[in-house]
Amino acid sequence: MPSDETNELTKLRAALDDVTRREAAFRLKAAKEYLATEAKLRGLEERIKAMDTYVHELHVTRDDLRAQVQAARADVETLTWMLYPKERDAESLARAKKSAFWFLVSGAAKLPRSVERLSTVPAGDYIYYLHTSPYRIYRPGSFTLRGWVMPKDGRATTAVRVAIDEKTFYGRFGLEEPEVIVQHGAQAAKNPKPGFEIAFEITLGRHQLAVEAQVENDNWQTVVSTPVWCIAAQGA
Amino acid sequence: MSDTRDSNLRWQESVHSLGERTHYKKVWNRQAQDSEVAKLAVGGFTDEQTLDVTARETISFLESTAGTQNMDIVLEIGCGVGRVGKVLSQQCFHWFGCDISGEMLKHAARRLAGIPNVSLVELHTVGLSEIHDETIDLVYCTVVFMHLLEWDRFKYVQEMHRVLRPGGRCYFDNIPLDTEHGWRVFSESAEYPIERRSAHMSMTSSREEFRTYLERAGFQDIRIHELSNGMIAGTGRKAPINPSGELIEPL
Repeated sequence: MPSDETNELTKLRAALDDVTRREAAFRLKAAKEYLATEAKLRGLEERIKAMDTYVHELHVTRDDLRAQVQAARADVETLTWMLYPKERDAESLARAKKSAFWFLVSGAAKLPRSVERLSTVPAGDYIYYLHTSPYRIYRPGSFTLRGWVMPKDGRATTAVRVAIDEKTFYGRFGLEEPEVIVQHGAQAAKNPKPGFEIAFEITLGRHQLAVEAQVENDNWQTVVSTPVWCIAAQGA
Repeated sequence: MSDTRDSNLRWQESVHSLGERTHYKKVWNRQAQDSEVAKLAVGGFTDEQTLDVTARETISFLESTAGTQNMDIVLEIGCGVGRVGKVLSQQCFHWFGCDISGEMLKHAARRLAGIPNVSLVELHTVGLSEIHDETIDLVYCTVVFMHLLEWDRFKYVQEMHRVLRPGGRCYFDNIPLDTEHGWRVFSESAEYPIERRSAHMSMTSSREEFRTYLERAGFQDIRIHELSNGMIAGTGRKAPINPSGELIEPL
């Protein structure tokens, strides 16, 4: 083979090697870039998967919270339905309290009462003493109030009674009280026997008790008016 | 009646074992937790000298069947610890080693550290989706197909065709069923109790199987080779077509 042809062949082979190398380098670059892109893509996919997992967990939490809210609403509804009859009862009670019927059946002693009732019996000016204290009355059984009373102006007392709320109780009057006569000689001139003893029944609760006296067969006057409490005795 | 029930249970267990086989990443990551075990798993030896000898034997098979060129961009499927790549990278333009086991690739990275024309790629599943189309000159898969199910073997052959440039070559090997060596491997595996079959046990191939894979994948110049180590290799060439659709001569 002539040397020119050999040289030409060598040159062509070298050129082919160069092209092959460049082509391989180009494909290698493309392969590596694709690998990097794929790796990036895999990373993104992993992140998406992690986010999907997180979103799934949030959905589960949301569903759980929704279930809790529904359960709470069901509880509220149940309680509302339980409360409704109570409210209805309360409204009925409020209406009843406004009625005259309530006034009769409630037991007046349970309600604080003013002393308007005493306005019909004017207060008088007396000296008095109660042997048995009526301020705390323990049931059962009746209570007997004992004491004495006489007007300060020296007039004669002709009768004594006890008023509890709407009721009036009469008992014995004109019992001897020798020590009182000794002590209040001048005032006791027309009241030689100022003692009294009155038994009465009383319901449980708070009441207004008044001791009233009649002077010289004239109008009744209040000697003393005081709130009293009737309490259930132990074992009653 | 009880025999039938026992058989069913054993059959179900065998199905489960077979299913484990497809968990390639888990199976091979487990075998790669220790570098010595990893070398045994991929080459049957632990010393570097013997690994190099077996690597050169594999390269000689490649040279005599598919051919190797110093300007080739080469891709190995199931490179393991880089047994072949350590030697072959000295004879090619660039060597890509891919494996489904990231743990195996860690050992490979240590063995191949400092070699500039080497890249390691962890496959996320069966296939070569991490590799760009038509970029590889030679793709091969050695001592791997015996650990794969047939469907996955064919998947890799298809992927080989995709990643090869026009005119690129492929190579894969396995133990043939129709030789004494192959039948012995087959028989020894068959004697294992069903419930004790491991996920990576070797499964043989046939010449017809290889030929069918290559044909169905679209390869040309298909050849089945008898190797001196008792294995068979299938090789093929991707049709040399340029982007305009015209046939071109291979470089």
